Amino acid sequence: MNPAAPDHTFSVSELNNQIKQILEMEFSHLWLEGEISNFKHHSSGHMYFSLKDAESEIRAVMWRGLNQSLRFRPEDGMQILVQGDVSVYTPRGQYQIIVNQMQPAGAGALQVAFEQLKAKLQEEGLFAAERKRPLPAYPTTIGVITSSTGAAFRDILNVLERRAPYVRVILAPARVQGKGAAEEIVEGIRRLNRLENIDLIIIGRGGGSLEDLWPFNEEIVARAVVASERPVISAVGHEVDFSISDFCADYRAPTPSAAAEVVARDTRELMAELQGTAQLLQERLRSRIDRFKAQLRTLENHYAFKMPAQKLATIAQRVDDLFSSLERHTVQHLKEETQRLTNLEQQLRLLHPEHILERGYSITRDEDGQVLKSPEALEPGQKITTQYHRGNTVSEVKNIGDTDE
Amino acid sequence: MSKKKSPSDEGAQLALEVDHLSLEEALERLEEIVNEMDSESIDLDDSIELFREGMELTKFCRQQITSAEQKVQEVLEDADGNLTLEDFDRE
Repeated sequence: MNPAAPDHTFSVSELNNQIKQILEMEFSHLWLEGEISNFKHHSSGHMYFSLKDAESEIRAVMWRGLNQSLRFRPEDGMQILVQGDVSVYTPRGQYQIIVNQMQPAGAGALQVAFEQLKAKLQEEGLFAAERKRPLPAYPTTIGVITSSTGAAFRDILNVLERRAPYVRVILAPARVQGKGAAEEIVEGIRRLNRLENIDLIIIGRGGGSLEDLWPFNEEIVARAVVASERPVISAVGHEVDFSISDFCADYRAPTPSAAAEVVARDTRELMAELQGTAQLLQERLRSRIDRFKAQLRTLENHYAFKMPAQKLATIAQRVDDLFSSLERHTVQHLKEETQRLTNLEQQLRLLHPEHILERGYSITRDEDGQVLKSPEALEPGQKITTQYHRGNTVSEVKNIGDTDE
Repeated sequence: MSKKKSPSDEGAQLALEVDHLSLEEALERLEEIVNEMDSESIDLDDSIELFREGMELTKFCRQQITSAEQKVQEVLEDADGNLTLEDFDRE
């Protein structure tokens, strides 16, 4: 049968346009779940991909203006839920879904975004233990970035006031939730790094939902924490909440109060420590003086050529004076006294047999160790010991001559 | 807070040096001094010098931590990017 003359012949455009109208009318504002494949984030900013299940797939696009506010990065293999409108790209006769909203199926978008950023920064080595700097042990000026009206700041000030009122606090006020908060935190880090003498920086806020804590999970905050020249403590939320800034910071405190506890050494503790140090200094000086005394005594005992007894008595007296002047006199006095003493000691040393032996003389002793000044008391066959600058010899007496020989 | 420097006045000079220290540096130096003074080989003269420095440092540290009033300030930035510190009002 011949085809009858058609009443109406479509042009391709006409057909595609009619299909488009029908599809758009029938399939608007629908929800669709599927797995992403062939994902492309085009340089124009638009996202092109397919959504598929086990048997079928459909092309999808999400325009730049809408995808800019996505908190997570869509990836191939990710299961997502989208809301959109089916439409036809008439130049190619392809139908596709135009996506208005997108969220990960199952876990929340923020949770996925958190895990993605965490994995990315970990990969870059930003959380590495060896990148973390030790906190200064005795900070006296600390910077805090948080809301000036929040509980976090009040908590920090209370802890510091109680434990360490000597610590100076400099606040870089920043909003800690909502739009623009991340930027203000970054600005605070930058600003505090421009101030001299800031020993460390605390960034933080009290607890809240993942949404509330979100600024501390933003990449710009993470990177600013890493770039900070001053060590950073991250103190976000309650014990159980971890944020990306916790991983990047040099130290993670479970709460803002805990951060303040960690940085400030208790005044009373420190004072006691200083007291102990001052005592230790006195003890060490005293024991040094005692050692000096002992040295003098050794010097005295080793004397083959006796010092005038009077002179030694004077020195002993001086040492005792020195010891007691530790309490009574100024350090200046102590110093002059020591100077005099060291001079005396110097003189003593020059007279010491060591110095004489050094010049080639030797000392001879009998078997009882008595220093021999003449051979009169010796008998042939008797043993005598000769002490040189280095070492000794033992000899036997053969002849006894007179002094002239 | 600068002090007059005169070569005969050693105390003042040391105090001036100490002023530039942070609490942390002072405490570190103190520990060093205590250890040095424990050395067998140290000169009596040197040990007195160290003792003096040590006592100055403990005094400095005490002064640093005995400020009774908590100081809280806010850092603000003007349009030209200049930073200023203003006292923070704790209500």
